[in-house]
Amino acid sequence: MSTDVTIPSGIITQQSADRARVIRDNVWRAAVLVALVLLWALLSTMSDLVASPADSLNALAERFADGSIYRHLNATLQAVVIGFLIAAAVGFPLGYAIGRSKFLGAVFDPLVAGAFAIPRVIFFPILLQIFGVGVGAQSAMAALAAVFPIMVSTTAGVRAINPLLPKLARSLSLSPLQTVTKIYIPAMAPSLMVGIRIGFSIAFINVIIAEFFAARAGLGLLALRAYGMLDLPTMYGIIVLLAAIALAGNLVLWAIERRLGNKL
Amino acid sequence: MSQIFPIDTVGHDSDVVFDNIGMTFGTKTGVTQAVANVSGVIPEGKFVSVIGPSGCGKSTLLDMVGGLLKPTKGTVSINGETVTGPRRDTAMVFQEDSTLHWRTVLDNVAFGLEVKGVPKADRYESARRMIELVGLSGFEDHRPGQLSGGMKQRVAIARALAMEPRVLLMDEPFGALDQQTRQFIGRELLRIWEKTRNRVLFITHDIQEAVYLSDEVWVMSARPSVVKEVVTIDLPRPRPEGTHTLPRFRELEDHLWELVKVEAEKTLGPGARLA
Amino acid sequence: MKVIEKSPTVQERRKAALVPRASLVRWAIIVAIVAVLEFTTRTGMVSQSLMVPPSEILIRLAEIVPTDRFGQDVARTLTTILVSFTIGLVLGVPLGIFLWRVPAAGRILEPFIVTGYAMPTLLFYPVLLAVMGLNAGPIIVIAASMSLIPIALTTMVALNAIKPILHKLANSVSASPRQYYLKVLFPAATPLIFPGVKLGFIYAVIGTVAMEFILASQGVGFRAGFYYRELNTADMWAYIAVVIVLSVLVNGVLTWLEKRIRRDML
Repeated sequence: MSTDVTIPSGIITQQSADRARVIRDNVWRAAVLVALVLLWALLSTMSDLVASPADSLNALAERFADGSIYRHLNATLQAVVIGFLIAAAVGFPLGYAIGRSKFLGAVFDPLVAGAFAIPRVIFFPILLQIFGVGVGAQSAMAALAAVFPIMVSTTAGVRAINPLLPKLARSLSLSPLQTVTKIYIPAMAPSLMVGIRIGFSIAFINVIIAEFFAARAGLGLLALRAYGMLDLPTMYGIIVLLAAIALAGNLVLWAIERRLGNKL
Repeated sequence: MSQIFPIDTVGHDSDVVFDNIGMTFGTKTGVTQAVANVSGVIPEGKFVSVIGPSGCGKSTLLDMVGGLLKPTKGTVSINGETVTGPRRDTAMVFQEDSTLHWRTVLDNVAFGLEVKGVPKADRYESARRMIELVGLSGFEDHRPGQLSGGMKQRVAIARALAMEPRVLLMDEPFGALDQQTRQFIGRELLRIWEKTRNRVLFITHDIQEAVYLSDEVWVMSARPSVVKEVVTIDLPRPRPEGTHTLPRFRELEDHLWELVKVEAEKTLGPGARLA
Repeated sequence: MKVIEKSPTVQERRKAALVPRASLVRWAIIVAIVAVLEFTTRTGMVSQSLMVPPSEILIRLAEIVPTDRFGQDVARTLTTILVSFTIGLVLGVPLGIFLWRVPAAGRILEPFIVTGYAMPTLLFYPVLLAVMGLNAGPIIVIAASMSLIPIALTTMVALNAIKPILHKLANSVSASPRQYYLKVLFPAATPLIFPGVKLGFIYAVIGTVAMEFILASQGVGFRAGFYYRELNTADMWAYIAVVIVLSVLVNGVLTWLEKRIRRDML
């Protein structure tokens, strides 16, 4: 009832109200973060198995200072990026094709859903035999893990497109390329971004899992080694670093998503 | 041909009485007065329609009788009691599809009674009666997903009627239906109403529908709204097919059209044209 | 008055014709893949240390399946999955309801939830191991935390998607809050929540098998990793096959359930 009251001055107040809300939310988020760190500190005083936040951050800083972490950081990030790019290069076109064609959808939907449900990490030994222990196997693992979520969200995105849009494209006699670039991709942008975000997350997790199983370098391997040597501060330091990478990656993708969302 | 405002606000005890009600909404930008001052009576056994430009607070008026909104000024009373919340003796039908898609038609119609705590056998019995009344016999075990839009609205009407309300509140119940279905189900509603004779408060923006169905049509002004005029529809009942073609029907329709047009132009700005 | 049911549209009929043909093609693809694997492994185009012929996998399976150890492994894995999923469901739905009732909490916690989603939770395994011991406990905690997030998020989205008119309807018939939740809100949200529940179950499967694979001493996931280290390719593949069949079965059952639950939502 109050929604149909939009006068120009109202829009301005609305904007400043939104900005105030964003600031308030961020203050709250900072508070939650502080609370989590305090909880961690509290747990560390209660248990020998939990290193204190200060010790952990120090241990992490040391690893950065002596440069020993870069090899591992590089290996992990490389595997995530390469794996994700392969997954995207395969997943988007296939997901698109399955979404566009009713027949392909009927054929492949159950296959993709079935493959999605399989714990892909079970194939890691085979990847190890093909690629040998190293970044290659980790990248392949990430690609294998991320490709199905990317396909699924792309397919869902194509199917959710307003059926009038393809009609519009035909009525304007757009070329197939124009139809894809001017109609489909912009209309699908939100679900493409969801696919990218999930794909990134899953690639990241699977690289770390794979590094736990067998690797020459990588943050997962480093954490496992630290644990093996009962160097708990380093292990927790790496967990913090991984959380920071996960957060940073998601924030960047989120910012892109917002920008796209505002434009559309 | 019509009674000019102010009208007699002293009703009988059993009537629905609007006593100088007003409604003001607080919004982000300040305060909006949706309803300025409305007084009126829905007498026993009467079918009253409310028409007016969009956004004039027709639905607000209805929600206040249903107890979903409290007027910021004045009172609505039914049977001499002030309405303070949803009452057992009012029932509502909405414009949107409000059927519960996981329930069968029978269980949908029985829903209101179920919530009231009526025992199963009793509520099914009245639900079946109402289903027959609205012409859905044989569809008791269907689910809303298998029904057309018009049939779903009939389910909603049956659900409301099953509660045996003193006042039936209908908020553009046929607004989402196509023109043919709309006319058909309008005739059906009238047929049903001739049997039940509840009080009906019917919101619509279709003037022809209002004339065809009602005993009285209240024309509301643009915001902040008042009842600008109450037009008594003195067409004889029952109203068979062809009522639309009576000269008197046309007269009433034209008169209402003039009244609404003036108000709509106020809302839409000068020079606004109505389709 | 007679109301005639709408006959199925042309499109629906065409779709009905599409399905058997599509499943024929799908099975053809699966058979072709198996045939290619059989051929390439038999002829030595693919080394037998990488993969054994599917027929041999079947023979190995026939030997493995009747053993006690297989029964124990499967029982262990299934119990872990079920317990993890149950915990995910029992915690995830109320969390989703909370995020829906308090939208500000949803907004504020979103970055944390999303980060948690991308966190390799298995890193906490050593700690959990020390606290809970070498049993199913640590795996359950990790798999449950993976299962919980999609359930909570979908519950929130589903509740947000419920038509406001249903709230109005419940109000207009003076339904009590309890009646509103039990008779309107939950039944309306269930079909929308179910995809999240399905995902939660799949994540419980993935989490359980992945954790077993890397860290456990029992379970079908563990066996696959174990035979890799033993360089026993045939048995490794037999257990991979078990995992694939298990996951596909689980997915099939959930898809069937989903169709049933969403059926009346046309």
